[in-house]
Amino acid sequence: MAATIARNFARIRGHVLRRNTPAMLFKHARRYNHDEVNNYTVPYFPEEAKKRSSDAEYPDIEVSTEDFKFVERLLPQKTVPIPDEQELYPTPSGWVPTNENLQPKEYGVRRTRNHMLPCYYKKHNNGRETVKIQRIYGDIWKLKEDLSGYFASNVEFPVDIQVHEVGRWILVRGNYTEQVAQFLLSKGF
Amino acid sequence: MASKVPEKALNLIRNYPRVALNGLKPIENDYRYKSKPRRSRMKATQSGRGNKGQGQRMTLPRIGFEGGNTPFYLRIPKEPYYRGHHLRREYPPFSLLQLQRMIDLNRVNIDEPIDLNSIVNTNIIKINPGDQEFGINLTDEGADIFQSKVCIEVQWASEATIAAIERNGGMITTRYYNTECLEAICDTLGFFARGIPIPRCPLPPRDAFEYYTNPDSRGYLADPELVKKSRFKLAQKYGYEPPNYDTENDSELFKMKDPRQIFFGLNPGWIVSMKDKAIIKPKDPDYVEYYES
Repeated sequence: MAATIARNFARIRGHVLRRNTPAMLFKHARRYNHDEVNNYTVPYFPEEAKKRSSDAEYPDIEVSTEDFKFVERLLPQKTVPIPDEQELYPTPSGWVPTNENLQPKEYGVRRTRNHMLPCYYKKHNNGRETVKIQRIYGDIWKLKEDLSGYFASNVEFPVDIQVHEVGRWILVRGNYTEQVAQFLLSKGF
Repeated sequence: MASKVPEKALNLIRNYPRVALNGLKPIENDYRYKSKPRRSRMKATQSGRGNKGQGQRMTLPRIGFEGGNTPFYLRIPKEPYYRGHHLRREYPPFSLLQLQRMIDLNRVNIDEPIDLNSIVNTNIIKINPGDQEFGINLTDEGADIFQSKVCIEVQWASEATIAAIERNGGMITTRYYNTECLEAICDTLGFFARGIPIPRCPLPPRDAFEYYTNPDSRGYLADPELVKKSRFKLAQKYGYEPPNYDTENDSELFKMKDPRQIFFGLNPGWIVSMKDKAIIKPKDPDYVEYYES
C-alpha cells in the first residue's frame, strides 16, 4: 500500500512539473526587436552603443581579388570530366573504355554518367542475390540469348534470367557480377 | 520467345473509352472529407476497452512487470558496448582502389595536393558532419595495385595504406577537423554564401590527441624529424626505397597546411565574397590576433 502511494505521489509530482515548466517559459519569453539588441548593450552604456551604430568608425579592411584563384579550386565540379586517353588498358584500377568495333548491331548497353558499367548487385533481405543490367536499348531478347549462351559455357549451373521489356532491364539470379561484367566488356560496352 | 506486351498495351488503348463518368473527378477545393466523431461504433458501450477488469478501469500494472517475478530488465546485467555511441567520431571508409579509379577517370587532380575537399567535390562520396562523421578513413583495399604519386591528407589511415602511398613516392598526413570546419569543407558554396569568416581549426580533443601527434600514423602535429625516421623504418619493414621529397620538380606538390588552416592559400578570419569575386581581409589588430595560429 505504501509503495503504491509513493508511486502515485511521484507520478503526480512528475506530471505537475512537466505541465508547468514549458508554460512558465512561455510566460517569461519576450519578443526582442533585433535591431535594438544589436545596437544597444544590456546594461546600457552609451559609449558601447556608439561603437555599434551605423555612424561609428570601423577598422580598416583590405580587399583582394588576386587570391580568389584559391577559392575557385574549392568549388565542386558541375559536370563529369571525360577521361584522358591512355596507352595501356586496362588502367591500374581495371577500367576499360568502350570499343565500338566489338559492339553488335541488334542491341546495346550505355555506360553510366560516371563512365561505369550499369550492372548492379543487390542482396535482398530474404537472402536472394540478384544482378541487374540497366540502360539497354535495341533487341533485348537477343541480348538475353547471348547472355544465356555465355553462362552455358562459363558457369556450371543453369542461371535464371528475367527480362523486363518495358523497363529495359535484365535481372540475373545469383551473384554473377563478375561474369556479367566480363560478358558486357567482351561485347565492347 | 515473342512477347505480347506491346500488343496487349495497344489493344488496351484501342478499347479504352476516352471520356466516361468514372473518369470524372471533383474540383479540388470543393472536395472535403466529412469530419468523423471519435466514438465507438455502437453508441454508449465499452469503446473497445473490453469487459470489466484492469483494462477497463485503467489499473493495468506497469510495463515490464511480470506478476511478482524479477523483471527482465533487472534480471539481465547491463551490456555497455554502445555507451557514448552518440559522441563517438565516425570515419566512413574510402579505399585506395576507389582513389585509383578517381585518378584514372580524371576526377581528382594529382598535380595538386589532395584533401577532403577535393574528394567530396567529386560528388561520388559524401560526408555528413551532422551525423558525427569526422572525415574519411583511407583503407588498404587495392594497396597492391595502387600506382600513382600523390600528396594526400586524410583523417584516418592504417599502416598498410601509408606504406602503399609512400612506396610510390607520395606523401600522406592524417589531419583532424572539427564539425564546424567540416561543414565549411564539405559544402563550400553554402558556406561562402553565409558570408562569415573562415573558421580557425582547433586542436584535436583529448582522446584523439595521441593519434594526431604520433609519427607512425603521420599525424599533422608530429615532430617532422621523428616522421622522417618512421618513414625510413616503414620502408625497411615493407621492402621499398624511402620517399624523397626534396626534389625541385615536386616543390609545389608537397605542400602542407598550417595546423589552424582549412583551405590552401586562405587564412582563417578572411571573408569570401562570391558576388564580387573578392576576399575581404580585416586589419583590426584584435581580430588578427584572435585568428592567428
